[in-house]
Amino acid sequence: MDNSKKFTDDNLQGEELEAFTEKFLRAKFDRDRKKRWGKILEEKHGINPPGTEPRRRKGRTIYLWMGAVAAAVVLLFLAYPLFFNASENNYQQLADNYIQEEFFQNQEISKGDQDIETLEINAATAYNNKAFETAIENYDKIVEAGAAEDRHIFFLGLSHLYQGNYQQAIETLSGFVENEDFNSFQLEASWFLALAYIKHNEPEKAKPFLEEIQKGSWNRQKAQNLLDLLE
Amino acid sequence: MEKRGPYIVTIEQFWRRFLPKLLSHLIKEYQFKKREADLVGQNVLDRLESKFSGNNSQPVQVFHEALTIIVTRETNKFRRLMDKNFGLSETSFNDMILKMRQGDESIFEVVFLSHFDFCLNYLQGKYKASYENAYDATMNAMVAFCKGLKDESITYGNLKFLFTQMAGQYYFKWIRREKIQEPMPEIDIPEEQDDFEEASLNILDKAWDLLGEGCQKLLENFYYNNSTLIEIAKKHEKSPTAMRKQKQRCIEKLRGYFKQMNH
Repeated sequence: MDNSKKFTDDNLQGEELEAFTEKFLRAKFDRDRKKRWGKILEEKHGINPPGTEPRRRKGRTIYLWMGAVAAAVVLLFLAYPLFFNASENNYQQLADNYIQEEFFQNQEISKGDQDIETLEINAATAYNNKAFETAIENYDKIVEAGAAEDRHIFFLGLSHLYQGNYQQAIETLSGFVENEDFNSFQLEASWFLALAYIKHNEPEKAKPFLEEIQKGSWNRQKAQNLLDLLE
Repeated sequence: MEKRGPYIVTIEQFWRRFLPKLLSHLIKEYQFKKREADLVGQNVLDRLESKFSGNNSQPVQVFHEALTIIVTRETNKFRRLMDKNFGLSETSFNDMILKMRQGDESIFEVVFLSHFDFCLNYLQGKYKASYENAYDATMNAMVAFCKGLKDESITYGNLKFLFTQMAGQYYFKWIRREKIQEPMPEIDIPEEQDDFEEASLNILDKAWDLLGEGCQKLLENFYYNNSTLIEIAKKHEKSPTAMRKQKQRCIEKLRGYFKQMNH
């Protein structure tokens, strides 16, 4: 029977009415809650519900267009030399910017065996101080000791990337993303692997990873920017 | 009387002098709240006492050297635990639960909605879920998580893991319409409610709006917030029997309005 008919059916009485009312009201309250959270997510966190376009403010459209035109003119002057370089320089430069602009802090120091813990503390401290050679030495020792967990491999890969060892960064990070036992940092590893491929002049190999990131919300725009330049 | 050199102190003496500095350091450098800093301080003291259980009188320098490692380790351990629990310490978590039981979900919403993105990315990255499916599964997991926290079936420990696993389960169970292939005994997601058509829920919304505030609160508290009639009756200084009758009247009113709206 249709729910709308069932709720008003005179034969629905006693325990059956009680059970139905509970389920019906729970469904309503769950839906209310989801609506409220969806609104907060959209307004405060910029996470849109599926199938909706970002909200636009009509009244400001003309100013946005004027701003966009002005920005384009300024950009044309600023980026003038770039138009005469090979497009390769564009995505290489953008990848460089993304590598440099937001250093990925290591806050993943673990407990465990004391020697390994010391190595990890040393590695993480060196990494955060951008002493990547020392970080690599310590992470390598953890790997050699057979005690490496996902975070060690991830930050080893990042240390190679920041150090400019792109080939080693690719080897480490691609091993990381292919390892199904590693649960943490998968998306981040894909992003940095894409940057490593670009820096290693293998942009085609970067594309699938960027496309994957572009589907999500984290670094979506950055991935799109790089894909645009790679086209 | 035991003869001591000028720099030898007991753990208690050392700790009395050192504790205020440690707390201040934890609050300033790590942005811990006072209660969290106290907990880390207690853990540090426990480790220190355990390390020097054989001889608790040592030169100050020895305690200092030991503390350099212990403080770093305990602080990191605490931060990792908080990280696993959406940045909440156990005390903050307990505060949040207490408020949720009183009907205030504001902390829950701030904490969990700010990690919605994380879970969304996790489902997309781990299971290659589409944005739409990942969004729905995360939302369903959040609703279930909220209930689980209130009824204490979910407790402090590794909330982040639990939340993402729960969202994963929803993804498999509801979105892909498949049976869970690897049941996880610790993660018990609620059975699906009967499917109610959107149209029926829309009518219910309209009927609900016609109910008085008293009936709305009574039905919501009883059917959604798991309050018993005895608790509700006590709050309103009425007998449970009177409350039961009032609840029945409210349901009949709601059914009446629903019938009106359905025509």
